[in-house]
Amino acid sequence: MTRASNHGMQDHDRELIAALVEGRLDDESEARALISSSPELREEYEAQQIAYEALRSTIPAKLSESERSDLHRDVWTALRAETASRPAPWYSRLAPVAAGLLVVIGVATVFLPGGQDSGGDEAAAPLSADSATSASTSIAAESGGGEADVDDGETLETTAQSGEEAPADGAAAFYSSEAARVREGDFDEGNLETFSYTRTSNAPDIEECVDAAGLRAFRVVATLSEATTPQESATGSTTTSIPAEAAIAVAVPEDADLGTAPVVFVDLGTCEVVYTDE
Amino acid sequence: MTTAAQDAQLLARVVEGDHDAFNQIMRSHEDRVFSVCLRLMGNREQALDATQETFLTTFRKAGQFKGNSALGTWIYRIAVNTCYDQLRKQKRRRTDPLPEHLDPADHAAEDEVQAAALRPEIQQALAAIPRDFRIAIVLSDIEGLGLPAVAEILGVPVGTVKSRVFRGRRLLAAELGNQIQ
Repeated sequence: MTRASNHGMQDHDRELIAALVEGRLDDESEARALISSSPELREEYEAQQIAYEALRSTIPAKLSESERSDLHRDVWTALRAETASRPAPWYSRLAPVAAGLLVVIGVATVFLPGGQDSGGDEAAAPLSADSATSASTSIAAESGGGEADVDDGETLETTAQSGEEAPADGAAAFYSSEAARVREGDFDEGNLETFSYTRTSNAPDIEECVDAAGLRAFRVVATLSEATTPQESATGSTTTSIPAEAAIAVAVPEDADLGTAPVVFVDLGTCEVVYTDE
Repeated sequence: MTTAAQDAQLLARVVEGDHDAFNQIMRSHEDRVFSVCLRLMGNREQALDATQETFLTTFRKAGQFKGNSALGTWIYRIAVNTCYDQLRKQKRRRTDPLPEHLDPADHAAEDEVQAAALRPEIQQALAAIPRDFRIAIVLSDIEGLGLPAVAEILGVPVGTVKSRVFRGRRLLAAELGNQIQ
């Protein structure tokens, strides 16, 4: 029979005690024998029972009629106000670029040598997928986005045209690995407070900073401080550094599934997106 | 028609701008959302704010609902995240402890607690335990949701929920014991 040990209670014991407390057992003899076998298990059972009965004795709260009508009124007021003054989402800034690209690619397809001979289907098909990727790459290359310089390990150069910092390869790898941790749940809500936060003297609150970065419907799941930047990492595998005083907020869309959500890194010194992992 | 199909149809109507459909969703879920928020926030006014924000987010995100979970589960998840955000903001700005006792002259406060049907000592004990455990036992033991639903709302495995519920009850019992002493 399973017994509590010096190393703590076993899963089976916990399951059995919880089932007994919740009245889910047809035959309680094994559970009763278990809690009789050890003062520690009996104490656990009694604690579980006290808490469970206290919680079950409560009735889920309800809105009063005035609260209910206020809620409906306030929600609709807010939605109408929002609809009237909704700012363009951050990605809308990319729309003119995307439109321009399509025009350039279309023109190139028609006028470049061989463009007219390549056949409609073959020329058009890559535009929807493969060529979109290469077009993005070429934009980054032209604007210097793929080659951010590191200045004495203190700051990352930014690309003037995009307005968004393009991290060096080492930083990109770092952010990608952190994003992977987020998706695995390492940074989920419960762990938020285990990461230290180094704030610059004039840094705004985290959520406000993330809002200011154009991520209004995002939630912060973690913050990264100097201790978690590549420069300070145990592996020492990269020389890339995050600005010395900056901390990074890690945000995901509010209701997104962490496993598949885009993970966005916001510099809390400048309130700008430094990396998006999708 | 199945519940899932009805949910999807309702949200499709919301996306198309049907206000009645959204009112219907609110009416179906507002009490439970409010109840969860009240247990998490510990304060009726803040719970109302969180409930309002939850439905605003629900409206904004209606087009993103994939139907992979029940509509209620999806809305709960939004509610929990909204409450977490508001608790984080509170924590940074000020400390706002729950009152030690209710002033008998404060009938509004008395009514609030009666309406919430949660004894003050339980609310205080709940407020004293870490929020991961608090939300697990609120959803499981007060709201009566099954472990798989709680797991889906919190975005963690069922095993983690079991563990949090078990430890949460243990912590709650300890807090209740401290109050009695």
